[in-house]
Amino acid sequence: MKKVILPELGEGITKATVTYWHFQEGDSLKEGEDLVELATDKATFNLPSSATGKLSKILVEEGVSVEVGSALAEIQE
Amino acid sequence: MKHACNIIDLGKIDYRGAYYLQKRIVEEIKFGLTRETILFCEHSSVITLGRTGKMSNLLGDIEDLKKVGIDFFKVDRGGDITTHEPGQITVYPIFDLKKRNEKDIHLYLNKLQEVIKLTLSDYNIKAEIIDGLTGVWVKKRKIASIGVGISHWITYHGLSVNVNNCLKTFSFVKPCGMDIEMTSLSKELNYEIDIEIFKSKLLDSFFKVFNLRKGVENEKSNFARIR
Repeated sequence: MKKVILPELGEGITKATVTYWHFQEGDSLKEGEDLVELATDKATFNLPSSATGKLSKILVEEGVSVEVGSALAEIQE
Repeated sequence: MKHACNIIDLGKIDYRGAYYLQKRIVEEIKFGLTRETILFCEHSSVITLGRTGKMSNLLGDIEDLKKVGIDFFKVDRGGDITTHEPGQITVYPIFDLKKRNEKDIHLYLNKLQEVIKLTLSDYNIKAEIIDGLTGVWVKKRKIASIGVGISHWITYHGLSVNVNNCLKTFSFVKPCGMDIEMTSLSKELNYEIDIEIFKSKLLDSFFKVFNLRKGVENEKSNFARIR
């Protein structure tokens, strides 16, 4: 199982809001595919999947703000 | 080293057409089929709502807007509500921030603001950046708007500068969800701006701020065919 972590997005950016999940729990996905979109300031940022497998758990719902370094989802490889 | 860049002036193009073109170029860059690209264009009247925008900032009914020729789209860029109309120059820089070793959203937004400030300084306009309010301002009036999207650290969406537009479309929205006055370059200077000269000044500013050079057409790209 691999956790999807919100990476550093830039100096001074400590949080981002999950705005859109491109996949649902149970979906198969490939490494590198856009998995989740987050918004910060005047930008949306699409975070690609860090592994190929099944999206087993979404840990942060759309509309919720999270800190950089937080786990967003779990992927069963 | 300067980054080679394709520069495409799309002229007048509808919002949807320009959007799909950006997404396609993002994919091409992702797979190494083309190089960084800057698209210049002018849109017909359209209101767009960003991902974190509120519908309450649209001051009118979508059907009524369509009757007066104004389109409406919800889009996947950052920011709230904004508008485009003829006479406003919109620029979509499609840059690979990972390849540039500049994986920093704030840095990118600051550079876009710098491009606009530098261009306006050529017209002796002292533009300002207001902390916490992305965009470019002239004496508390907003002259340019910024809203971007990023995928695989490749940018899309971008910036709009009010040049000769009448600003009429802005009366249907609460820009960025705030009570702000919009302005344009022609309004500030009191004369009609030569749009071609403006675009070339804006491009020069991009070259300086983003360390670019004009690239030759990449033969592997399908780009020429989509145009």
